[in-house]
Amino acid sequence: MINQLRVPVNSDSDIVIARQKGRALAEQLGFSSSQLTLIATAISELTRNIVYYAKCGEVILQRDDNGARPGIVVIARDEGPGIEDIERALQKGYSTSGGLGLGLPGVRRIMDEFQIDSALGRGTTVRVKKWKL
Amino acid sequence: MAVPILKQGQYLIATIQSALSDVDLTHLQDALVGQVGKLRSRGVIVDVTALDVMDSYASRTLRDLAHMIRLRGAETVIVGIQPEVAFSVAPGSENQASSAKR
Repeated sequence: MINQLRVPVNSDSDIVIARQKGRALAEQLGFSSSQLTLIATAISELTRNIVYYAKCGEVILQRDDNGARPGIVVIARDEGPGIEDIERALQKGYSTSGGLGLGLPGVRRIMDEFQIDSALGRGTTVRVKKWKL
Repeated sequence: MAVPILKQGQYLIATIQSALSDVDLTHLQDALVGQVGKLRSRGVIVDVTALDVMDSYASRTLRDLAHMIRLRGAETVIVGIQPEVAFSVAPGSENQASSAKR
């Protein structure tokens, strides 16, 4: 069984590739079909943020049996411009790209764990986890 | 991957065949909004059965599409939302997909 996958992100079509690979990994780990869709949706949003804001980066998908609950971890990492105001970026309706501003808050809503680390000029890393029920 | 648009009398039927990239979704929107005028259609059916994910971009594109088509004089019906996809969209309707549905 594959425990970790790295998906390079350079263009729009990588959004679909990343979420399909994430879904496949989560399926191997035994997630239910509704959880698979939530995981794929979160990967889609995080990967799109990389494409829109940083142009390129990577998505790491891994099985995680550490911590209180086993599950799947998705790490979306880029070396883009970084987020100026993380608090606002997590609010519904706030966007600097002309989007609806529902990506990051949506991801936080549908995943069980959510961590974001961003520094201006250095990039952004978002780590999310979905627990296996 | 392009979405085929079928003309059935006064209606257009667009059946999504696979997962779509953002660019594909935007092409679908442009094509339908254009065809509605050209073919003087009364209604548009968008079948999203094959859509694996309805994230914020897909929700917004479908909602905008329905709105633009209404401005062009036709109605849009979105059909085939998978139960899992509905589950991901529904809580609090926060990603606003629900407003496009009738």
